[in-house]
Amino acid sequence: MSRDQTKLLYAETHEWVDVAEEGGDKIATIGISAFAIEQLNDLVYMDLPEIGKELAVGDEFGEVESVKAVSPLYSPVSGEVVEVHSELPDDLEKINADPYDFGWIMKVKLNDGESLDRLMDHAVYEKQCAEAG
Amino acid sequence: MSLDQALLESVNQSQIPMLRFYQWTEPTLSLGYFQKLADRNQHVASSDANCVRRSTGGGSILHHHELTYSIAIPVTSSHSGARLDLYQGMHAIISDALSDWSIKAVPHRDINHRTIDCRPTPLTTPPAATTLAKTNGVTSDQPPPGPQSSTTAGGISDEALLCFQRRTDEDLIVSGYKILGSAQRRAKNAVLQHGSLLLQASPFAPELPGVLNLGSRPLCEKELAQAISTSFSQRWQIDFQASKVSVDETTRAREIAATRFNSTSWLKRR
Repeated sequence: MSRDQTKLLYAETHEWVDVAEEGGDKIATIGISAFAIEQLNDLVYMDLPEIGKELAVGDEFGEVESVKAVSPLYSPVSGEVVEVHSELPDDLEKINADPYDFGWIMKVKLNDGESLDRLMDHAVYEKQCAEAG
Repeated sequence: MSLDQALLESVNQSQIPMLRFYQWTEPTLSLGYFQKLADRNQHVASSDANCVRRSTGGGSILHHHELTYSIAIPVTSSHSGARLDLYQGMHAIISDALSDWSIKAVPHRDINHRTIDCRPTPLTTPPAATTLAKTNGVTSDQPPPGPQSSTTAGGISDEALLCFQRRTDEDLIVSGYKILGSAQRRAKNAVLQHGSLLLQASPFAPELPGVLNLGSRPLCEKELAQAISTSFSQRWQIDFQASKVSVDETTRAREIAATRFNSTSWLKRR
């Protein structure tokens, strides 16, 4: 089932967040938005975080190399990395066509729900992109 | 390189642009951030040179007879990836500066779009080459590079190990040879761009000529750096003030060197 991008939360730095309840925990699935992927322009490499890594909001959790730039990826939430999309770095061209499903990067078990309060809904995020674009 | 990273962090905080020029005390091969260390074995001529891993991407660079620049400018966190305007702007400025020495450097995209023959032209020994060697106290023990018959024979490819054997739109080309390549690294609120302007072919990469090999006039790297600064100020309406690296920046650069650029684990991370 395709993820509905209008139901996701977004960080200023263009990571999307999809929160679901799993076994009593809140699990955030995280990727980078179509807008960011277009700006990054042809991703060629990606570093994933290690499973078990504790992240706070704004921490660097990975890096991507696009045409002529290495850019850090910033965690939009606080919690522990519980899963990473290990096939993604070897198949980066697919992220361009499918950033919200195949393009998920990691899952984080949230250690508080407050970090979600700083995120934008789709309408606000679209406005930011329009202003930046 | 650790100082470049420290200055990026500094600009990320201060939001004041920074321009720096430097040269290398030892011939050094720098790997692109995502390149594998083992891949350096593909390039035999540089096998005895020091090796470091950059924090920026792209291909490997043999730093020897070159002028290296770095610039860091503020950007907003809502903009992702490379700043194309910075590539285009900085490379146009350096092209302007090189014209003071009658060197015509053009972006690779212009060569592509005009679909002209971009094969490197055969080289002759330039009298200017000895000028730089004397200035640096370095004597080349190999002759200047010989002619390359075609782009293919010259090893030019998007997958080449060496940055200067790859081509992207903004690279500056003189007589078919790439003489300037740059790469960027993003921080949240700033971007660092550093680049290598090849002055003269190195014995560790004799296939890559510099502007002294390709031009006909002597060139002093300090005058060139000044010409670039002046051109920058005129084009971008920025009045640079000379300044020393702060104690905090120096301290931070040492920390970064210890954990990254002087660290074996950093070098061997791929």
